[in-house]
Amino acid sequence: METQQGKVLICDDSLLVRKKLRDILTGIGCEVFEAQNGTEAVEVYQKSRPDLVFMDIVMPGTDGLEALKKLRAFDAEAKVIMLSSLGTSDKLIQALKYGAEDFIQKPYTVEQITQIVAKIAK
Amino acid sequence: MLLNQYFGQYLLNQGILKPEQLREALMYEHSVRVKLGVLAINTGLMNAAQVEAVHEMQKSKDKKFGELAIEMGYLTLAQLQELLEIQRNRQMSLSQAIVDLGYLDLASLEKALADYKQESQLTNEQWQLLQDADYEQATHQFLNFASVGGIGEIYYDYVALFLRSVVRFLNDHPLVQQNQLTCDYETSKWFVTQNIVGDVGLVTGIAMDNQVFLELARRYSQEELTEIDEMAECSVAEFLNVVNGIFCVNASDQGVKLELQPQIVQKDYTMKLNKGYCIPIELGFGRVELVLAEGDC
Repeated sequence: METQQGKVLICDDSLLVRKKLRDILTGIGCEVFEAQNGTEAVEVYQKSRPDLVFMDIVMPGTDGLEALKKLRAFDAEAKVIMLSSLGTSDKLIQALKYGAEDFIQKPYTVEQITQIVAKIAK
Repeated sequence: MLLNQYFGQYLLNQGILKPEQLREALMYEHSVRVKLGVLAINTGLMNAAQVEAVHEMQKSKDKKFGELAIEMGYLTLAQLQELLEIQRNRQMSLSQAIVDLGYLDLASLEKALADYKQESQLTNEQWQLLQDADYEQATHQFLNFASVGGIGEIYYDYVALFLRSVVRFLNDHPLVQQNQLTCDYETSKWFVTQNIVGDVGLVTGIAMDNQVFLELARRYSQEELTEIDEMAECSVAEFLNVVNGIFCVNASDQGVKLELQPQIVQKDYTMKLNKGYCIPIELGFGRVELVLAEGDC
């Protein structure tokens, strides 16, 4: 099936979060890739070259901010949305400094996800 | 709400109701409570689309329906007060629920209420105040974190946020029980824990049995879960993570820098706690123990 909204990588250590996001994203025609931690996210990104990444911050091993730095070092155009419960001003500033497109604090709404995808797809 | 809390605890302590009967009564009372959104539509102050928009906003904000409706320009403060007054008048009380479910007849209920009023030495004014109180007040009335000194205030904030989150994410009305100071925490139940680190170090955890774990997982995930598998574990862990995330953001707004470590889900757990507290919380579907302590696991 041809994807209308492009390819999206979800990086979150929670199976539940990945499932919920996958349901939303496939529902609007995205092709979805998944990673459980920052290291895996970098590997999957290099292979699948997604248009957009949803990245958690607090994960075992390489956390989301480290992974964001690595992704942007590999591809300076990488579009990464941080999606985390830890939406403190410190994390927000760090994420933007490392080149994140946006920051969504959990719990998110379906509209927040679909609007971001639509914005990037333009 | 606080009156339910007080009177409910009294009924338990006196052995007048069993814990499962109290839970059932609280669930029943909640199920017939007149929702503010419905009331706003009935009175013509808001339309269904506006109520829906507020509900949608509530998913991402730790705020009450009325606060958001004002922020979004749907209600004025005076209109909200009018709605709350109507809601209070129509609200079914815990007492009514206990009688409807046949746990006590009217005479026994009347006696229990009168005994309770006398023992607690509450004036009618205080009685009324109790009906209007919220979770912040409930935590200060029911819990005692005096032995931990200044950090105690953080514990009160945390428990109040936890109780609000139970309402918001699990659609349940929690009843907090008296907290106990504990140094060696041991549980044979499921235990989900997460460390908060930074300016203040805090261990947070929730313990519960299989049935409560599965129901909490179902409610948070809104998935058809039939057994405790990885999805169920992730669901309970994510619930705690989201509560802790909101806690860290609230603290960061006040200049306190906090970070989260990944959550851990396990069974048959023992840990040493530094100035730790175990706080039993009755939910409509069973009991959880909230564990709070200084430092990290």
